[in-house]
Amino acid sequence: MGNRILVVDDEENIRLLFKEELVEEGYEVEVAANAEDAAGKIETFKPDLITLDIKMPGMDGIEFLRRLKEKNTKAKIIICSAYGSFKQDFRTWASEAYVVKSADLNELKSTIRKVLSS
Amino acid sequence: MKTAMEALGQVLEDKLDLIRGVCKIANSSPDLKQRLQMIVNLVSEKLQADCCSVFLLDDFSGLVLKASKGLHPDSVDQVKLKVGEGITGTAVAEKKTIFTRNAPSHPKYVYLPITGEEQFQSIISTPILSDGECIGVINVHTKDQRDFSPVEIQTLETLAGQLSGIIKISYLYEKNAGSLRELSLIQETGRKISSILTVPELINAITQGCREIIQADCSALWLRDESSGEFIKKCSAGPDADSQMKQHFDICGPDHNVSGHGCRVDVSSILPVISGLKPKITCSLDEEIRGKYCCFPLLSQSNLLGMLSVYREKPHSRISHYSESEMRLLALLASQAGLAIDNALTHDRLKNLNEKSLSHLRELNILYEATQAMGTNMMNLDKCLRMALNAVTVGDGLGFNRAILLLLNDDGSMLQGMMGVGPDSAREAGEIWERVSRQKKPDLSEWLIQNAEEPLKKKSYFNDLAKSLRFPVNPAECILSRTIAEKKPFNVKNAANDKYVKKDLLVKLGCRSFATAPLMAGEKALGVILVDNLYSGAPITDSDLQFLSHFGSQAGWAIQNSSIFTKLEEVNKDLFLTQKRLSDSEHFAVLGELSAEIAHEIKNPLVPIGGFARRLFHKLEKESPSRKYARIIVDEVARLELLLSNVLNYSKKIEPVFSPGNLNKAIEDIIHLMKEDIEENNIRLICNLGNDVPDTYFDPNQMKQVVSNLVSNAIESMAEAGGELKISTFRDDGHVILKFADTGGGMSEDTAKNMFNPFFTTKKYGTGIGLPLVKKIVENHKGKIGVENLAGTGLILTLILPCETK
Repeated sequence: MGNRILVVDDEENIRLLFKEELVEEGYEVEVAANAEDAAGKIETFKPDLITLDIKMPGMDGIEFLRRLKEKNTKAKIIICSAYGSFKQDFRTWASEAYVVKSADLNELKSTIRKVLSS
Repeated sequence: MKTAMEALGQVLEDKLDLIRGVCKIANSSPDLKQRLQMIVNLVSEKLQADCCSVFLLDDFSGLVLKASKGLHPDSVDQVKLKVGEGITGTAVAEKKTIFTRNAPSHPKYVYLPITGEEQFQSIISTPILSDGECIGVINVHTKDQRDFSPVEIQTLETLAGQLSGIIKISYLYEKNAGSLRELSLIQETGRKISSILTVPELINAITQGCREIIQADCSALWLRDESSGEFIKKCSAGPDADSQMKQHFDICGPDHNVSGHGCRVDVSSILPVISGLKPKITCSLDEEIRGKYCCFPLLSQSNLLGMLSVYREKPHSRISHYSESEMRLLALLASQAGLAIDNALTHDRLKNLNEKSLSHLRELNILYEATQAMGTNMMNLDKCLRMALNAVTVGDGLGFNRAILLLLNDDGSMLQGMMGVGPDSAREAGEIWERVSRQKKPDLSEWLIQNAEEPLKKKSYFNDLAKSLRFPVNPAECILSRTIAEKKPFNVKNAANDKYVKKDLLVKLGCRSFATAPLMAGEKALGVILVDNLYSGAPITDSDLQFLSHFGSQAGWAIQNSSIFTKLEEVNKDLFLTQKRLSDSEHFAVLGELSAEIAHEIKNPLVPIGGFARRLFHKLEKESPSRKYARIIVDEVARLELLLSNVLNYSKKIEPVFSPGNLNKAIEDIIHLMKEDIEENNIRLICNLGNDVPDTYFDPNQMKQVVSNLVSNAIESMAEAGGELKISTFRDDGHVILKFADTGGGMSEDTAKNMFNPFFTTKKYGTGIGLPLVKKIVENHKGKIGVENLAGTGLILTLILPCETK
């Protein structure tokens, strides 16, 4: 049984793309459109890894990351944002990795593998 | 009988002839002497006499021979007889005719050798009587011893009666002529003294006038010194006048220290003369000169101003040295002169006062204007110094040729030349003066302000020279240091020999004299102002120096203020730059945010596009043409992603580029571009661009962007129904106002609240960054935006931009 990944992103097509690609990689994938949605899915789905967008309506990814870390959530977290500039924001350092979102998912996939195997 | 009768007839005829002749003479020449000469000629001819002479009685000299036929010509006016002396004198004394056939044997006979009368034997001497008084005598002589007939005696007596008339008329004529002459003299003198207003000229005219009127040998005018009461001789006229007048006062009293012009006399010495304040012939002391001097007080409203004195060697008559009419004339002249001198002195005093107050006023005015110009216009030190120097050198100001300003450094150890104003050469000086004299200047302060704004002359040798002056402060050696240490001005009249003038300063200035004054701000000396008149060569007067000193203490304040102001300005500039950097970084952040936001919005759909294209690419058969298309999509998305990553990872700052220009022009440019758009949408454009909008500094591209955005919004709001767009600009109290009023129905409350938020849009295809961008740009120009939302009617946007010229 593959690892469980929760994709959190407000863009529906991105969620779809990520899910298809990661499923193909052998992972069990669930998606959430915002932080609130994600919080529920974490409880039920119990993901091993979460890909987290930053810019989202409602609670943004950084704040959500802070809360997850506060709750000592077991899931590993990879920030996956269209912005590269948030790498400079120390609050994002709490995540396991930071990947700039791209149509080419190879970087994300290799990062996920690395994070899960560590 | 017939012979006797004939003889008598002949005699009578001769007598008649004679009387007719005399009558003719009486009506001829007015000159008495000429008439007398004609008469003696006629008488001697008609009476067949060898000699005829006339003596006239003079108050002073007695009988004087006035005309003769037969006596030696030299004896006329020389021969003098006393009344009762000789036969002639006896005839006068006894007022009756005396005749004798043998004169030398007459008991009263006196021989007068000069006349050559020894050749004559007989004499008939007839007194000339007028109103019972004897005024002269007519004598007839013959060489033979002749017995005069009663007819002859009677004829001569009749003739004497006629002669008396002729003489009296002549006397009257002479007197009248004399009076006329005196009158014209006094009139002339009066005219002179009433038309002259300068005291020395007036005094001279009076002194000369009184001498001429009575033909005195000399005259002098004395004025009383008000404080000491002494009489001081102001003027004298006539040959040897000074010594004559000196003698006068030597005699008059003690304590005399009289020596020519301007001598002082103790008032007590002439008090006897003037105590009665009436004209008086000097009664003093020495027998010989007694009466030859005459003094008249110069009075004005019973104030004794001085006195007028005359000296005449020759007396008027035996009875009085000066005649009554002479005294009257002099008194008249003195009284006129007193008033005239008083007027002139008053005029002088007023003029002096006036000049003094005028020059004070002028100084005050210049000081006021200069300090006004320097003080009220907050300006930098350079301008202030220039204004100060201009005030010192401009003709309407202190009017020096050149001026240099030196300021103390911060620790007060060095004096540094800051600026010099003045021509570099005499030629330039001439050109400047000519130009300035032709120029019509506004008032001084305005001119100073204007001039300080003008750019400095490109190359001024003198300014460079001034800046090269640098002296350590050492009051023991240097005049400039002394000026500061002693806080007072110096007038260096002979710079070459002044031990306080350093050689190098002298060489650099190249002038023989100059003046310095401290620049004072209260008790503190800030520096020195140095002036000279190298080109005009005009001496620097004490009043110039005083004025310069006043100016220095006024200008000092202005310079200190301006120095403080300049420092403030520098601090302010730093602050401004800091603020600018700050606002730039804010600006950067916001613009970065904006572009990142856009990039993000583009990137979000790009990721699935590219991602699914990849999936397609992998899933399609290798031979499938669609695979090629998918590849193209993948590559293009990758390219776009790369582009966007530049923005998302780092947003470049958009720096506004300020340049001078007119906002009206920017608006016109944009409207020109958007004209078609406006017309297509049935929008009536009303442009009201104010002429009063000044050129300002702004970023033309950014401001055009603003105008374009606002006009686009307006067009869109009115796109369906058409309407009216009013664009107006005007100047309002240091701001340029741009107004955009449309009739597009305005906005909802919600829209109005969010109109400046990025990405908020009500438009189908809007980006939502139009108005936020406008706001950002306007704020970058230190302006503001006012919104008037007339819901249901339209929207009025007002841009308020500062009209900074820098």
